[in-house]
Amino acid sequence: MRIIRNRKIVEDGWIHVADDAEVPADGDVIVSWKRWRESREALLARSGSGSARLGVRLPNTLDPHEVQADLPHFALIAVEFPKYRDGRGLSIARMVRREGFRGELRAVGNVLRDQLFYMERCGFDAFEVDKSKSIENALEAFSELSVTYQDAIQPRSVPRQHRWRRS
Amino acid sequence: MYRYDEYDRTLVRERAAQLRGQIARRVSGELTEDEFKPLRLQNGLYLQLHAYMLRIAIPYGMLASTQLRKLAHIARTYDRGYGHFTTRQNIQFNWPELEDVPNILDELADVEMHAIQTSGNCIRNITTDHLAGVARDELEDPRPFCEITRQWSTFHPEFAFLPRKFKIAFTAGREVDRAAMLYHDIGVRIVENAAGERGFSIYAGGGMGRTPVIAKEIREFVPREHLLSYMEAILRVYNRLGRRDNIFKARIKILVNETGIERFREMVEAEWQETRESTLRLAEGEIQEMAKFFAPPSYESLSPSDALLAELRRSPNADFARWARNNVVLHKQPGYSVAMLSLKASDTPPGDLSDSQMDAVADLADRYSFGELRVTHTQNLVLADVKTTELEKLWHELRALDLATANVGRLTDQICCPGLDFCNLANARSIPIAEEIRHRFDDLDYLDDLGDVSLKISGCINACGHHHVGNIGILGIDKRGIEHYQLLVGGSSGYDASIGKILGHAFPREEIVGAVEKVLKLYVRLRESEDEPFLDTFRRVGEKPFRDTLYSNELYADHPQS
Amino acid sequence: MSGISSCYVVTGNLTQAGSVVYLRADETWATSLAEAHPLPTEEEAEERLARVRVHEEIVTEPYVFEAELSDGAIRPKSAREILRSAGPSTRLRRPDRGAATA
Repeated sequence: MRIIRNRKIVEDGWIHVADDAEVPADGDVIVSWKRWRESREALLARSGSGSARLGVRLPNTLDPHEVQADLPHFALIAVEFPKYRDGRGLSIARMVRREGFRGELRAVGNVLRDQLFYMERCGFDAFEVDKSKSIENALEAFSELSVTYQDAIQPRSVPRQHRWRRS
Repeated sequence: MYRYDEYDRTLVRERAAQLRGQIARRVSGELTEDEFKPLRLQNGLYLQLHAYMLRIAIPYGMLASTQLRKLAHIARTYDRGYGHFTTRQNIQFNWPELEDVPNILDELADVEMHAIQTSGNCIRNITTDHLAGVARDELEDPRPFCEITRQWSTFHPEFAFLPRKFKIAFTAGREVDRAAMLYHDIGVRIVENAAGERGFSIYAGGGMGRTPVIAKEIREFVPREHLLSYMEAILRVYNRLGRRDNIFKARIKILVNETGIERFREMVEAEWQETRESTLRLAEGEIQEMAKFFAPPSYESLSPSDALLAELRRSPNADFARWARNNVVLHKQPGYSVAMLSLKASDTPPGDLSDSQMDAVADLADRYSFGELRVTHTQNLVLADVKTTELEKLWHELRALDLATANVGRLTDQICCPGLDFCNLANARSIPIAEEIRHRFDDLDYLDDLGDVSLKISGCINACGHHHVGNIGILGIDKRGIEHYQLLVGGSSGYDASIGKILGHAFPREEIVGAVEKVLKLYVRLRESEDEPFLDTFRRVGEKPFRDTLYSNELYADHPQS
Repeated sequence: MSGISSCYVVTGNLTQAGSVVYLRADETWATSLAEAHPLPTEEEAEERLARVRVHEEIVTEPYVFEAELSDGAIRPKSAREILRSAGPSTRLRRPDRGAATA
């Protein structure tokens, strides 16, 4: 599957594992938050080797404080956007980054071009663009607005400063 | 007022180009209407009954004469020769075509204007007191804080897809709230604490709509430097926990009511502990830098003019005298006065202004008031800095423009939404009701005798016409396809906020204005003196006499207490 | 003896111009209600609606409303549809720039 990572289209090596499917022995996997809670020890043992990294998929109803203690175990956190109009995942991203998560933060679900600008500024660096849309077109979202008014968690091409603080 | 530099100009230009692209994708079919709608709404673009409607932001009501001239040009070129000022200090054009909208935004960008976040489930235009900076009872000019808040909220990445729209208002009047602050999602009142320090009382969870709620105080005193960090904490809690399962329960007022203000406050305070020392903390120097944009204009050094104004209000020119009494407000600067331009004149819908009137008012602003004007949430205009000695000259010019109706604050100074004549959401028309009321009550002596009575009309339960908070409110409803109107009595949008009460069944179209008349007649009979305002009388005598006068010939078994 | 019966009309707003349009018998769009094709049952109207809904780039959010058919003239039942077909009842300062066509 092709995704956007750090503003580039790349072939993604991570595997989404459904809750009723077996977790493969090798490879980077993303499991649900529920599965992580149920099979924590087994998943930790598996990812101990280093060649099989662990990612977790958070529902957007989750209180990010619940994830805080587990953050060091994850190389990737995916946040679900069940409907693109639902902005809860944006707050989750900001809070997860605030807690110091440095791994890949990926938006999954109904992810459309016109959200990417906001998502990136909340801390997302990877995007599974909705399959019905062109991923090439979606890349343009990052260059539409070259200026921003407020500090954000992970600005990339823009000065990291609040508008009212500029010289 | 705030002026753009290259940075701000880049933002509004790029935004116009972005919408141009989004419209092209919509027209090509790449975007479905469902996907396009939130995007166009965040640019103030609605699809209404007959056409698109574009809502343009007038940040906290401040408008320069050059901007008003541009609005006139847009009205002439892209619309049908008029614009409509709204209760959120914005302006709407009712007839643009889709492909013209990016061109309109380009034109607006030329004069430092835009339509960003004038709709959609995001932080909307910041509003405030139309007398900011000139009111005598003002503690401190709120506009620098409004502008800082505008910048913080513009394209705020985290709050672009909230559960529902979000409105913030500022007020700084010691005595009077002129911004309906307590009916906003966040209301901010500039206050001074016991130690003499300036800060903010923050209220949350107010709103009108189908469930009117008066905002509750969430924190009595937030220090100046924490304005943004505190608001961000509120928004973050709301964005995560506000209901998204039911559009009618998605406003923050429902969250506050369902969780309870105590629990809601705990959550906000906990989040605030995380945000208060962030980069959102405002330095006093930043506030002062921003305040420079709102420094008083270069007033001439004049002698106090209260006595002169009192004299003008007794002028032998009775029409001018009445205007000076009703439409002129005392100014804090000696020798100056505030002139209110009523947009509730003759046969035009409340809040409407034609392109030629816009041009003429822009000229008046240049000649009488330092090239600036304001829009009020009551859908009028203000020339805020007029020399008292020039009031009569100004009045003559306004009269020639049909903008000198001496009814500000009076019954016919009605707030009125566009209603079913234009709006996709409305259930009944509101403009024709406003017109009928103006014709029925066209005796200015009678209106003056009634004193200040606020009358507010909404064409549906969404309450854009603020019917809940009118001393008298009218709400249009649909009864099997036929327009009917509920009458509400006793609302107030001030610091003494109260929600009007529905006293009985709705009236058909041809009876509603008669019902208003009955209420007014009863008030005149019941008031203790000519000085007792309508609202005081209502609060003193209660609703029973009003219900009796409206429904006396009927059995109202559903009101056993009467 | 004139016959009055119920009918159903498919309507929407042109995506480009925003103006009100009604579905004709040949499934093109008319700006005048008089040219609309009145359908005798809601089912038939819904069927038409489903067919035109895929062309959202032409007409946005089409839907069906109920009207009375009286001597061949379509009379909407709701205040909303009466106003949509006739335009605002308030005085407009300047007439239409000209009816848009589909």
